[in-house]
Amino acid sequence: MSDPRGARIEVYLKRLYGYAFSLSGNHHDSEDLVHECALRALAAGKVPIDEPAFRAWLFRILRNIFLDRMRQKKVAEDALEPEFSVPGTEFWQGDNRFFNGLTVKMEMAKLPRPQREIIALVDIVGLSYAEASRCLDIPVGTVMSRVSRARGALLQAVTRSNVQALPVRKKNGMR
Amino acid sequence: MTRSEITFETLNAYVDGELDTPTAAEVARAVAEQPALARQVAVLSRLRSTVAQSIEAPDLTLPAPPPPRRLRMAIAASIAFALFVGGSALMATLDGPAQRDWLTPALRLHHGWSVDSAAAQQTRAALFLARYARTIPDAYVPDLSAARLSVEHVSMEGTGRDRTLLVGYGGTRGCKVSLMIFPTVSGLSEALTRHAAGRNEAYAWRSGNAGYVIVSEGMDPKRFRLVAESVRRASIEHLPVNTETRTALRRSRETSTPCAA
Repeated sequence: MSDPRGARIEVYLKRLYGYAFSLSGNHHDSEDLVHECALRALAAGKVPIDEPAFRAWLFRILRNIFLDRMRQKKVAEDALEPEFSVPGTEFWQGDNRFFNGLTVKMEMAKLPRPQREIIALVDIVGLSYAEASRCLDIPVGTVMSRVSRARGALLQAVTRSNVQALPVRKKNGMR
Repeated sequence: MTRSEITFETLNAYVDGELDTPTAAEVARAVAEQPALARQVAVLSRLRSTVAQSIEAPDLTLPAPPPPRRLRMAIAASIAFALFVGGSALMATLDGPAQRDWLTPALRLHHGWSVDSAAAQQTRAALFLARYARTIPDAYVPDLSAARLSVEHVSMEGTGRDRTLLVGYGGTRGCKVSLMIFPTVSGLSEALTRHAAGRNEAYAWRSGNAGYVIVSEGMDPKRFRLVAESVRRASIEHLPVNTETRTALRRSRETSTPCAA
């Protein structure tokens, strides 16, 4: 791509999709959010020069588009306000064997949106706590606390889940 | 640092590489000495990598960049100027008396559903569409999902020969488009005829025994023209829009500015 700004955005398309999916919960809206976000970023007047600030700016655009749409649909304004009732600060005592991609994916989808969002920003998008704080406009300490509580909630949910990968019997000569 | 001094929050920050160097070193030492802490770190690391791999993103391409801001403003200004200077003249020269008869009620119908979105959401559109579309001979309601316009409202306005099937399409960027189909065809030609009044734009045509009017407010004019042409073609052929048109509709959405409606 010859457009340097386009090239900078293109690097983040998949991660933007991951974040969009954590907000919207469906493929169609996620694609649409990414599309709209890219258009706005391409048309923006001023763009942060350093990469961490650019990254936080980009994901903040996507978040604002999502919030605008929620307001248009007259969804409750507190849809992205944290309401972490799960303790999530205690050490996890569950069984490691419950961990598999399917279980984690299913249980993450059931988490409240604010918890999905913070996990997505840090684990899927790969933002540092400082970048996430800029994206969400909250202090770094709050990000740290939210990450911990959200992961605690996800671990508890995974433990409660009875979804486990089926055992596969391997025969000689078969993969 | 003992286990009681290390919180779950600290361990999360440790796994994420967010602790300052002295604190990280203390936690690392404690983890090395205490199997229980080591297990927590292993669990969090595994959770982190599992979550990171849980989303499968499709192949995404960057949309075409919009025109530079200065050019967009110039285009918008020229359209506004043209409508201001030529609006009334356009109405007077293009509109025959019969056509002016439908333009005003058409705009009223459009505003009726597009402004009251709560009522639109309550309408069980698909159900009504199936019931009403048959009541007007030659009526054809196209699928405009390629343009990211989906049916949000369907109603039958008026009765007898004055009945009009009103189909409201909504986009994901605030666009609202009304398609009106009615059995009265007087004053309408088969060609696409454009009418503009302020921010409202309308196209009208006839297909068989049905008259069609499509109305929008604030949609990019080029995009709206393409939508109108696609609907007209579909109404004549009584076939869904073809692949070429679907592609053009998708592209027009990518290159146009969102609706101001």
